[in-house]
Amino acid sequence: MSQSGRLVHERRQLHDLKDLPRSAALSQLRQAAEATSPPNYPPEALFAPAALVTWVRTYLAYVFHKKHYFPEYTASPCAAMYALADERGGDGVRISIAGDWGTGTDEAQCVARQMVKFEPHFTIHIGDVYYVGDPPSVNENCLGIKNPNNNYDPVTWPVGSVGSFALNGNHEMHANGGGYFEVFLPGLGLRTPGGMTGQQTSFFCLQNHYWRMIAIDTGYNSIGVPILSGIPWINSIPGIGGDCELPAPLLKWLKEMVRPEEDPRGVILLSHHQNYSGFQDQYAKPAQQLWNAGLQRRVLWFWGHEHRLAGTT
Amino acid sequence: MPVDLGSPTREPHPNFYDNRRGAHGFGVKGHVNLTFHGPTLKASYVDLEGNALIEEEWQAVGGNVELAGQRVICHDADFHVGPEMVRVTLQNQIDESSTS
Repeated sequence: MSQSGRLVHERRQLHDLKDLPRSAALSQLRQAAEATSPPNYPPEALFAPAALVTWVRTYLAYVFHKKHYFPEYTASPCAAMYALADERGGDGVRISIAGDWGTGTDEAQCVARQMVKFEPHFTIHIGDVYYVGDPPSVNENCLGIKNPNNNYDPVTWPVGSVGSFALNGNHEMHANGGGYFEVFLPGLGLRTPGGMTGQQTSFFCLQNHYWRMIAIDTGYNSIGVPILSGIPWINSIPGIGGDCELPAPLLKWLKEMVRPEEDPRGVILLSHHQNYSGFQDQYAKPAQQLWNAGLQRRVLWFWGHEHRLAGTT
Repeated sequence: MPVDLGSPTREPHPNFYDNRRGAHGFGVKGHVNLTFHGPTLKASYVDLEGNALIEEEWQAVGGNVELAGQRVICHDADFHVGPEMVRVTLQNQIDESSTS
């Protein structure tokens, strides 16, 4: 208990993330309220003057800064093409996947423990680190490093025995992607005796003789124009709302390195955003682009963003 | 994020979805484990407690990915399985192939 008699939690609670909006402005407000009322912020903290001042400062910084640049496949020593193999090069491979995981809650730590029990060769996070995926959020919610802006115990993303990768989500882009590209990805990639190689791109392909697991970045263009993209009706105007369009360097990689139209292997797609949904918004643009890039067959597709387990054929 | 609850409101309706309410009032979190072996991929959807909910077997066939079987393990009333879902367990398929 705190001196005021309020129960003090060691980690952020799921309730703190309830109804978290998908707008950058309101996600930044949640983060500002938490930062100005440690260790556990009450709901009224959203309206505290200190929170509003912090929010204005951080949100305007986001609005007036460019997105992190989008690394091309040439940034990766292996052109973002990795072997889908165990430590000895065999094709008996285990992969554990979670999405919308970066909450910093006890539940996130529990999911991580369950993933480790599977003894995966690879782990893959398919996007979303909350509230806004900036460096302190990535440190606290993924890398086990305490966030100086609150008093919570941090959580660590489990890394597989061969490697680990992460996709980009809309919440990472609420801070322009800096925490994702500059803090999270350098600690991922393949394990080596000298440490992790780093994941240089937000897209990649794991492949063996039978399979290709192709991960795409639907988060980079998911936000749209600041402020306007958060207004209903206005955000349906083309160019205003985010449509998850795959960036040109990713399409270039598909054309020059993946060449799906020429390849006979089974394809598993990974993305943060859903292609379709029985529950909420759908994002059709990436599938159109993949079709145009030559991927014109039946695939298995894992995505996050919906915040639920559901399967559709 | 807290797992959302509720039924599908638009097409396409899912073949299965987990609408179980956890102790904290939200839906139940989890992850998926994939096991590759040659052209076969097994997917196991696991909840926060480590319970496998549903298992699938997929095959890479001529460039396509085909569903070879599904096995529902969770029989909670709030774990919804659509009528179109194939209720053939992987074990049954293995038994059939071993006897043929």
